[in-house]
Amino acid sequence: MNRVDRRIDPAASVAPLASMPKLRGRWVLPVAGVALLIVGIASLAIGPTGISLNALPRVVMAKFSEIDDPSLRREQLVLFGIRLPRLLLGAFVGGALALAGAMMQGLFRNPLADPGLIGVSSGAALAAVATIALGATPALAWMKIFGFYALPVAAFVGGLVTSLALLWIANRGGALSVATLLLSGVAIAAIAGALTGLIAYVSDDRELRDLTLWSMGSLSGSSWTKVIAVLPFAAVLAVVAPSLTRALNGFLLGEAEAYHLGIAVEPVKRVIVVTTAAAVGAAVAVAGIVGFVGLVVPHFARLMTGPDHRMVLPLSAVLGAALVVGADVVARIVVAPAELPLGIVMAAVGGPVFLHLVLSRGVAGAE
Amino acid sequence: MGAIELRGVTVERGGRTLIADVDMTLAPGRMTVLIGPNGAGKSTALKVASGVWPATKGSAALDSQDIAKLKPRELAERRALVAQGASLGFPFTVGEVVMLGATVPGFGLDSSPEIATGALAAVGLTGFEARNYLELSGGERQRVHIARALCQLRAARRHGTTGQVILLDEPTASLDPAQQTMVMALCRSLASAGLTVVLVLHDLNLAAAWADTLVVLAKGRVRAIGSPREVLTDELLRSVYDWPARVNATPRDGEVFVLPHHARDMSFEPSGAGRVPQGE
Repeated sequence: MNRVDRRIDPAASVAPLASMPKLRGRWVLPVAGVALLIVGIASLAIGPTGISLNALPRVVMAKFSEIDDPSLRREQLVLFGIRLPRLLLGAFVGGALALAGAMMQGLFRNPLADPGLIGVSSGAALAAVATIALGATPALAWMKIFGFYALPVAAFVGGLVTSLALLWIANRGGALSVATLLLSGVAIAAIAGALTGLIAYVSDDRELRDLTLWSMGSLSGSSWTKVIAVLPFAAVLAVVAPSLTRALNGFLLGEAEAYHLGIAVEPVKRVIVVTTAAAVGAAVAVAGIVGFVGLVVPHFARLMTGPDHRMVLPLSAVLGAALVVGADVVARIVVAPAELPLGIVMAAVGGPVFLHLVLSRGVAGAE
Repeated sequence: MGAIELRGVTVERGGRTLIADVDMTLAPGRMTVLIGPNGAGKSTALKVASGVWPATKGSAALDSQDIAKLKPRELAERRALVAQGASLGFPFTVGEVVMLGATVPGFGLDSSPEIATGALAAVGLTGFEARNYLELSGGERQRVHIARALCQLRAARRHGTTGQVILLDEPTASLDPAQQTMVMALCRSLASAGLTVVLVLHDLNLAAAWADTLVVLAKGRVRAIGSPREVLTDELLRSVYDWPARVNATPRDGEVFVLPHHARDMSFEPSGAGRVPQGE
């Protein structure tokens, strides 16, 4: 009895201090940053008009100085008109998708709750496809008031409506049922897919080619307009994310437990659903459906740092950006001078890598 | 400080009445133990007392403040809850799980990990900080969650919070007898330190040995409140549990304990579900 008493004596609990672990894997973030930098430079340099690494600084300098060097004019045009917006678009899309995936997996405490798998991307895609194909019809003509934001706005609304529908379906009875969520997500994805298919069926040839290319994801039509269209949504997500890391950690224990810990559960849930849906919708709108980023990148981040969202979220954003930019470089190289759709590269690389993760180290969370 | 009062609390969910007209006072410095058969409403009462579920009728107050009106943050500083079957599907380390107790920004635990280390020591898990939570046994996981609750309270206490409450729903369910004793002794030390300690237990002997106040619930209503000696009787166990058991007292100090009825000693007839096989 004495022994037991001594063990529980609160005064005796001043135990060794050293062993409490700090944030795990902090070294990974700088490494990921360097990787992003490298693929970023590669993305600027590689293409039909090769810009050598030596020439790159000169081209940039020439742009910002008043000196007009005719020998660099072509490179300047390529770099600032095509490559740079493409790089930024890839980085924003990849970062936003990975960050949204990480946040959704945390919210749903399920490592499979990728925006693609649970139908949010499909909902966004349906809305965007409808805008592409039916934008000229009277029913959607009012969308023109959004100008070049019409497509992102439509995709955003589509993603948001899908997210809310999912929450509503899976939330009935007070508790969020993960099984219901995933199953209904698959169902919603199927319904959205069917409607998208229907729209494709009634589209003319030109629209159809747009749609097909678009459904495979691509950065080939990058422009500053698109960069500006996706930037606010990605930025909001990036600004909101740091304030949600602790809440997301709490959510991993379950919603009720998160509430016990002092987290205002419902407001946090709403913020996560709205910001991720917005970002995913915008990403889908400017780059089409880019699969695997939202699912694979957060897993990868978790394998390296553990599940603490204070590390997982920033790391996912950087890795997601690096992955999409890198995959885009590959998409430009393999069948040059033509280009592969980004989605094909992502799936071809992401599928086997993910399978490898599952088989070798076990997916984080799959006990 | 730290007194919880339930007055006329009724909880209806999904068209069913889970508890009806429940009155109880959970007093600081005491261990209050809720007992009763499965489905009696113990966990529901605990959820109302901890502010997780609102009362459909009646009131639940913490130091005269309506619990339902307290913000999650305020509640988290005042009370910690160890829920039944808390689980975590992600590979956190034990240290990280315990630190989750101080999740709310402002608890400022990062700068003082000794609180988490101390909480682990209090549940006998010194040195477990870097272990993977998913690789722990059920009993170890249970104790990690108790440590998480301790960490929550201690972190808030550093900011001057007083009058704290800890509520534990079957905290000993997956523990061996020595660990059960350790957890109960921990609860006792918390009560001695002035906390309000509330437990739901199924083990009547554990309840009898440690409780200051026993609250017996059956079919959503309070059947008896009092010290174990006052409350635990053959008659009550038969009517509440429909279970043939015998309450005895130790010759040394009169502490009560419960023995299940043996088939060879049928001095009364159970009325239904709890019927024991009739022997020769």
